[in-house]
Amino acid sequence: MAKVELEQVIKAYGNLEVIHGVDLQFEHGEFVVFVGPSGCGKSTLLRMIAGLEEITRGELRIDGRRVNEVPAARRGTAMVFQSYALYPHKTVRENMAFGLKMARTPRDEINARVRDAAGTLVIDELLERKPRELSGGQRQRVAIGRAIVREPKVFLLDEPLSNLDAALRGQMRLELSRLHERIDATMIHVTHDQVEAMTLAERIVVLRDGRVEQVGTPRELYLHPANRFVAGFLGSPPMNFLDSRVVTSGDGWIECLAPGDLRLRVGVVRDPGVDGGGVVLGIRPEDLRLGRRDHGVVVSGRVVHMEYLGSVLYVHAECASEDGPTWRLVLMTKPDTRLQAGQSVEVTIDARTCHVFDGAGVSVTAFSRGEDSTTG
Amino acid sequence: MTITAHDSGALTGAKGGIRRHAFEYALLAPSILIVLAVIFYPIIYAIDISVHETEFLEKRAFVGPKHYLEFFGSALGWRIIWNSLVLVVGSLLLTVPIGMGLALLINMKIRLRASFRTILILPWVISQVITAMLWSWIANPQFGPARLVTDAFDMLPIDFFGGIDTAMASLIVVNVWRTFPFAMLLLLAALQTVPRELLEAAEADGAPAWHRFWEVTFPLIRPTVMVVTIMLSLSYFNHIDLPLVLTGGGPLNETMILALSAYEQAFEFNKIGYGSAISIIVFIVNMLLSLVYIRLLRSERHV
Amino acid sequence: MTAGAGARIARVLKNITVYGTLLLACAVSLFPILWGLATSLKTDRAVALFPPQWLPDPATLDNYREVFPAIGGYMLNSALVAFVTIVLTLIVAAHGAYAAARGDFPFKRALLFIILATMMIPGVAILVPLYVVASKLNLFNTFTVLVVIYSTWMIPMALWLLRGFFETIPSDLEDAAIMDGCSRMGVFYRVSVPLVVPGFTAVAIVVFIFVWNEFILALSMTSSEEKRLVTVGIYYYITAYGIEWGKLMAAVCLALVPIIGGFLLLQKGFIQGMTAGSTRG
Ligand SMILES: Nc1ncnc2c1ncn2[C@@H]1O[C@H](COP(=O)(O)OP(=O)(O)OP(=O)(O)O)[C@@H](O)[C@H]1O
Ligand SMILES: [Mg+2]
Repeated sequence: MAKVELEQVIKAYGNLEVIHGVDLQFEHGEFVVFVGPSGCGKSTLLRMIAGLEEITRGELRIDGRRVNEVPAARRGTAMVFQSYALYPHKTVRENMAFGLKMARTPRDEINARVRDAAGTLVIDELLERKPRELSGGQRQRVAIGRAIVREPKVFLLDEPLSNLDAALRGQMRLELSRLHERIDATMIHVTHDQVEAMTLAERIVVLRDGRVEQVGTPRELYLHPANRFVAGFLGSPPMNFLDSRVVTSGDGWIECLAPGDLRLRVGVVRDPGVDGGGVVLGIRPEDLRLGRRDHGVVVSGRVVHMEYLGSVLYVHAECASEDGPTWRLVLMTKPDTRLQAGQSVEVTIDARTCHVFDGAGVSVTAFSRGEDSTTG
Repeated sequence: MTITAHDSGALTGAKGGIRRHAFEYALLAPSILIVLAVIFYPIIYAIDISVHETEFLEKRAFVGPKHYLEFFGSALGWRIIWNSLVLVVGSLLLTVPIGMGLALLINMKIRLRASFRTILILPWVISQVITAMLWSWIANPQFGPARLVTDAFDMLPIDFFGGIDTAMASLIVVNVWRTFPFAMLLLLAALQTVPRELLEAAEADGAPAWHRFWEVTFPLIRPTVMVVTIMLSLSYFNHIDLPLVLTGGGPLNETMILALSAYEQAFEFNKIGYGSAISIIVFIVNMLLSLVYIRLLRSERHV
Repeated sequence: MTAGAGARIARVLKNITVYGTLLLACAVSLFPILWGLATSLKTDRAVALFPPQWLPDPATLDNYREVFPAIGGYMLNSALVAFVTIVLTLIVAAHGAYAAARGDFPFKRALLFIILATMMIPGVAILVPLYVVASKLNLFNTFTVLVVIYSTWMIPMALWLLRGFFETIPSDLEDAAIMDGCSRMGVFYRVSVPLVVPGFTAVAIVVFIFVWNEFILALSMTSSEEKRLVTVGIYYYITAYGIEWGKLMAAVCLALVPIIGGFLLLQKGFIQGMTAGSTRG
């Protein structure tokens, strides 16, 4: 267990800065997930915390102590690598014991800890095997086992599940959650899989191009994305974005003109700026309703594509505007809805569920409504 | 607590000051120092000796290019250069085609391919000294099987390695026997990279075998042929063991080549200055051939 | 059908040519060795017969018995020098190769070039200075000088080869070792080195073949009988006894045992290694 703090952390390779002053704080025992697109610096950040990568500027503190200069093995961190990185020439037991041996832990204690960890992960039977004699899932467990025998204060995982097939990934996700409850460590997990992020995290850190875009609980990030990037990154299928124009604005609201001559009046916390300037409206697929409803404006379109997922149905509709190009909406509906490709549909957009992003992509949405209003 | 950068940095650290890479320099230092001491220093030393008068192991007066002029000014010098050229070119002219032919045969779908290959490689693993012994005994004018051949033609027994007319040719034959496996192996590896579809397409077009070889196969493996040629040239040019043991450069310097002459002058006649001058000539030829070789590898990589 | 018969005949002819040529080539490859072997098993009288006796009759091991004490000693010398050379080469080259594979540091290219460029300098070009220096350092006629020079000649090749092996080690593995508390040297010794054992084997094979077959340096750097390596020992047979072909061939056959035996056992490694080490003149 440990509190982890990053203060204005910068990483540069030569003249190339890849992490641009990150500030983060994690509490004791928290499960934190870093997400972001490929190349955004997730691994770099994690490796700096681990001590595998030098911190160019800024400060990293674990339990209040500056650890920038502390060698990796003495930071109380342990890491699980995407490739597992098991030593091919050592048995599972030796793999797990190696770190303890290096730390000159007494032999009895090493044996006891390895036994415990192996029991926890159900790999007792595999202890005398070499990594090449294990399946992918088993290697994964050993890699985790190697980290937990060291009883780390901070447990770092870099895309540990990405080499597993879907079923195994689901199972390991659950096991990681359970593991987190059982062991006494702050966990920092890197992934670019948003499902993994949403299901595992107590807090998510969304990164992009070496900067923190937003930090918050999965719910906060999903419901109140701070900017267009976060809004688009979390959620699948992604949020619908409509390029719009501000027509009039008042105290705490603006009226926008969206494609298809839609006029929507949405609440804002501040005026997004330039009169007549562009804003982007965002609507989650589940906030769109099929057919005419109360509250909201109606837009008509044509079904172009459907994704049936069993529990829900996603409908891709193409809408025409008077003079502009066609635009698309994706909406979620009940799986038993009878629709055909090419069929005309009407879609109701409820202005109260719209997110508004200003010209720079920053959210100016006023969330007056309760969180429940979007979950219906 | 302060520690150096590399302790906390990752292994694949970025470029930085020289001091932070002490680890890498320390790892590389023994290799550098040993080659500097045992190869670079001696070659400088050799150049130095070659421009001095010498007396046994001692350096005397500076004489400038005297030894070089002496070598190039003598009929024997040019004779030795000519011999080297004959040996290199003569061996190449036989080794490369033979290696190529055998590589082509082994590359076909044949039975016992691995066994053929193993047997054909054998001459190559044998040292030059032993090769020389084996062939001296075969060519022994009294009891060697070679006499069966001369007898069959009703000729007098010939001392192949001792005869003025036969020594160089015999040396070349042995040289070819020793090195054809090398050419064969490298060319075989190259042949195996030629796509079968290309050859099959040519065959479907009705191209005869020799045509397929020159039009399809050869252009594709030409870089390897060049590499083999250069590596063999270097090997023929530099070897001392085989001519030393087989002919000793004789008879009457008929098989004296540059490398052997450098050795002989220094170690048998104790003229280390003059011997060094010849060895520097050998060195320069090596540099030139190596540069061609590097060029070849470069251009191959760019294609 | 006649066309079919014609094609069949063509195929048979082709097969005869192909296999005939290959068999002939094999005969040429093997003949000198087999003739030497046959001679080594003959009595002195049978050696001096013409036309030659192809199979030894009576076959005898007398020649082997007679040459073994001396040749056995030379072979032991060669094995000893080869072994120490292998160890020294591996130790020096492995460290350098690791820096070359893992590090990114100023002057890396230049430093590697210095090492690799030495492959362009033929042994014969530096024989004299090596001899002079060895004499002045009182290292003449010692195994030490042979080991040092052989190692140096092999280091560039070994470094190049091992660098390729080190490059295949995933860097995650080494990061894991750092997390487990290894220093950078610790990572190298405990994780990287055990993973490139196949590379070490390849280098060991090349070095062994090289040392076992090397002649001219061993000849110029040693003078006493007890310091002779196997090639030198065989060379002196000619001059020492006049030529007793039966004994000489027995010595030759003994010297061939490790090299041919090794070749048959580890063919792939041999071929790889000899191709890599073949430029050293
Ligand atoms: N050694 C290096 N030298 C220079 N740039 C580097 C180095 N390592 C990483 N980078 C750059 O730093 C950025 C962040 O890389 P990082 O590996 O942290 O991304 P990531 O978020 O983990 O991506 P992924 O999801 O693909 O693993 C990338 O743009 C990468 O190109
Ligand atoms: Mg990554």
